[in-house]
Amino acid sequence: MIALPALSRSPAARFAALLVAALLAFPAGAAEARPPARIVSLGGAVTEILYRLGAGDLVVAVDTTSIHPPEVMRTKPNVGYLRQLSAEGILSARPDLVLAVDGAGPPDVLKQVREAGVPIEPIPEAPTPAGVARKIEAVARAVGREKEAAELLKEVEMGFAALAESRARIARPVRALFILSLQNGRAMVGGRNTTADGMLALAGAENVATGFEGYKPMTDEAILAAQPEVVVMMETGPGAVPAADVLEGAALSQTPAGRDRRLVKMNGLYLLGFGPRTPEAARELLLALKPGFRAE
Amino acid sequence: MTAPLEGRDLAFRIGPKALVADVTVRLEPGRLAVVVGPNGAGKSTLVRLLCGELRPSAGEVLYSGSPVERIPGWRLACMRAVLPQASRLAFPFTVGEVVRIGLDGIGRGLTAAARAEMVAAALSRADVASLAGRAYQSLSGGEQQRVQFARVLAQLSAGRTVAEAQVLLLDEPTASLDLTHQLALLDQAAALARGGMAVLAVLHDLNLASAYADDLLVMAGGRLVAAGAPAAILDDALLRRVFGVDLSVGAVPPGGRPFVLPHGPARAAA
Amino acid sequence: MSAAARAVRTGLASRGADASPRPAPAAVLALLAALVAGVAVLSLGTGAVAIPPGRVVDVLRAGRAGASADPGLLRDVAIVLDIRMPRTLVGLAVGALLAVSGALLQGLFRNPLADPALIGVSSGSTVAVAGVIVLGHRFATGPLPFEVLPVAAFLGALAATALLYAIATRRGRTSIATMLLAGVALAALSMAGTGFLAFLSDDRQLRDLSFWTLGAVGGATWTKLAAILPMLALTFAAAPFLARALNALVLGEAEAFHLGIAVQRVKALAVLTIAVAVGAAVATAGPVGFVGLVVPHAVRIVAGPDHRVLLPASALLGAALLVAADMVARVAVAPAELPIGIVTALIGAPYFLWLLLRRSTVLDA
Repeated sequence: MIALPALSRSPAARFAALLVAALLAFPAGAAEARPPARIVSLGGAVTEILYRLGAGDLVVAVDTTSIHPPEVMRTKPNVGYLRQLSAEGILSARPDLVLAVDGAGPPDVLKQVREAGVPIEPIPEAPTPAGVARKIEAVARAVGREKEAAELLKEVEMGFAALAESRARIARPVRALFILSLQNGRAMVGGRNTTADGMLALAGAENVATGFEGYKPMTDEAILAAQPEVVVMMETGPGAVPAADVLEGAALSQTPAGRDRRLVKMNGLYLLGFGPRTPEAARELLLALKPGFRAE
Repeated sequence: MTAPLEGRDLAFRIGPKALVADVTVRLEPGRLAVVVGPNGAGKSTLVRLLCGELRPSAGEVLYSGSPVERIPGWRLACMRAVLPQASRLAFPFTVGEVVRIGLDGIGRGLTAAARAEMVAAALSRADVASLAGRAYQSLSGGEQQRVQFARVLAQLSAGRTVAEAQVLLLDEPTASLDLTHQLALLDQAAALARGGMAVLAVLHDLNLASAYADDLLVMAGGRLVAAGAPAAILDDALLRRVFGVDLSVGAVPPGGRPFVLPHGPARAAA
Repeated sequence: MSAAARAVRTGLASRGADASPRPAPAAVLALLAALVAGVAVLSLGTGAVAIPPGRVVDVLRAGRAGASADPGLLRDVAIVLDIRMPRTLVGLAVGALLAVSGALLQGLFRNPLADPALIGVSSGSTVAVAGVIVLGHRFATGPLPFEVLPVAAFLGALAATALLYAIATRRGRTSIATMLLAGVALAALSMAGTGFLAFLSDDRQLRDLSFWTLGAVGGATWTKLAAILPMLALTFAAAPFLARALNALVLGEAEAFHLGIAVQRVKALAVLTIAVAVGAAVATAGPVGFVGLVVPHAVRIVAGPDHRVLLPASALLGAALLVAADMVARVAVAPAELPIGIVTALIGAPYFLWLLLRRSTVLDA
């Protein structure tokens, strides 16, 4: 056993001493039921949901995909890229709960965190309205905020319902192409089973890149053949490719999108995050894709 | 009595081309044999066949009566040493280290002191003792060649503790040496032969060959065209036939050793 | 060559060779062993979580039993015993394997600039790992077990090396030059394969792949350590035999044969040892670059090129260097972590350039 006074010099030791005191003060088992007080949030949408549930103050660290609300990036330490985490980095935030969206890893690292006595709550991920709801429910359950979640769920559900109604009134879906990036004029586009594909569907658009799964480079000829009427891209920082350059490429300039100079740009996490803001983002996208569409 | 090294009816072919054909040599203990011949005569190939590096297409190589391919590598290394043409090193070994590598493989039964003594003796016999601490890579070509000779001497003295009959093969050992060291190296080789070793050297310089050879072997086109004491075989006709030069062979009075002195254009009319 | 030129050349090349005699091998090895011990101890006390040295000592003394008696220790015990300790030991093993295989490879190829990538080890394992990352889920239901990736990396390394060895071997003789050239071709081929897999991959798989190629010792577990130890034992068992043979090989293949070395057997054993060592290291930590190149050079400068000193000294220095690099990797951007390949390349690449510059002055003079 260690003498406590000798330890109380460092913050870590002081914390350990406090923890000992806390554990002594509560009977075993009570600790289980206590809501978490220090959360490491892994996944942009997970962090967003935590903030919407009023649990933002409990977040002690986030991953690099957590960029909303903007204050996150200023105020919370970053434990690195979602798929390349470090066990000690997570533990250094002294969490009592880790929320990890599907795909967080590597698995060995999560295992080590668990072995260090920190529970990890997996959060499911699917680019659909039901997926968003499941995500919110899972986060709420893990942090014991079901009451706040009910409100948020209702809001999200209503958003999706209104969106579905609007979608139903679209006579002809617009033919859209999501371009993730342009390198040397070569477009990396969102095919089937991508978040971009899911988002275009929500916004009542038809994804013209259906010949493949995932984000893939698409040849000029395929783009030409696909004849998109509008191009969707993520807003990126300064130095992003100007709209003119995108639409004046050899292939795109020969499509309706290029001729009518139709390019929609939206914030990446907002557009593809599948979090609480998704109904709103999908509506915004819908209106941008169909400018003539009258909101109710 | 079996010879320390014997090559019988040796041939080495690559495809249809015979680099060596029908060569039979027998190295006797106590004698220095010298191989001469024009470029491409098959001299180096013969050395590589004799030392076991190349497997002959026909014929056999025997060390003290045993086929070379049946002798374990370490034992063969005790029985014969080879001084190759110039070799470069990729790593900054010192001269002393290079020489010591010569007996690392075969001197394992020796004490450290005995090995150190052998290295020191080899260094001084090859006149490179003063270079012992230098990096091998920093030496001139001739100095490097002397260090390699010291390495070979070290191998032989370690091998002598195991094998009785030893063979030394030298492939153009004098190529990069100055006159002093050419003579010094061949003196050492001759001394080793006098000590009972069978020595074979490939030389380019006919006069050095004539001066040092107990037996002269003349090769041309992969074949042995003449063999015997220099005085007996080296004449104007041989020079013309083998080297295609029109020169007169003279003789140094004391030992009757033949010599060849170039004097102006000597290209023989075909 | 003029006398002046010769003086310059001799002066350049013998700098350090004439002036300072080499330190005794035992002294070098003892010093390096002390370095390894020091780095290992530091590594146990270094990380994103601030644990004071006294506390680390307490954790080590109490062990797991202590943790069950005192719940407050649980987190620190987990960090020191289950994260830092296996990570440090795996780092030591990987560093030693990479450095020894680099030294073996340079000796075998008689080229101080040889790198494990030359015998196809890295290419083979990269293709295999890319295959597992990109295609693995198509053959499995649910997530792949952790072990699949390292096993694939190891097998890929061995398969690539075996292929190269077979290509370079004719009538029982292996041409080292052919192996080198075929290695270049195989690297190009595997780059195409990896590129194609990258094309098939989705965003996440691509990032997984690119992170893998940068290497990491993070996520090291006792299981990984147990998997790498037999490879380490095998390498260390082969090294003493190879050391003497490689010294002779430095003189040339023919010369080594003249000295009684079974050249072909040595080549086969060396290639096998290198493939096993690098394969194990790559499987555990990804293709961490430059350790295999830099460490043997550093050792040669101090202790000379004799493989009997070079191999053990490289193992020690490689172990220390990798763990030191890993310490940088885990604290530089804490609580996130740098891929260790970035740290070793930051040390290795400038050194490599310096080596090239220095080499052209001395050897091509």
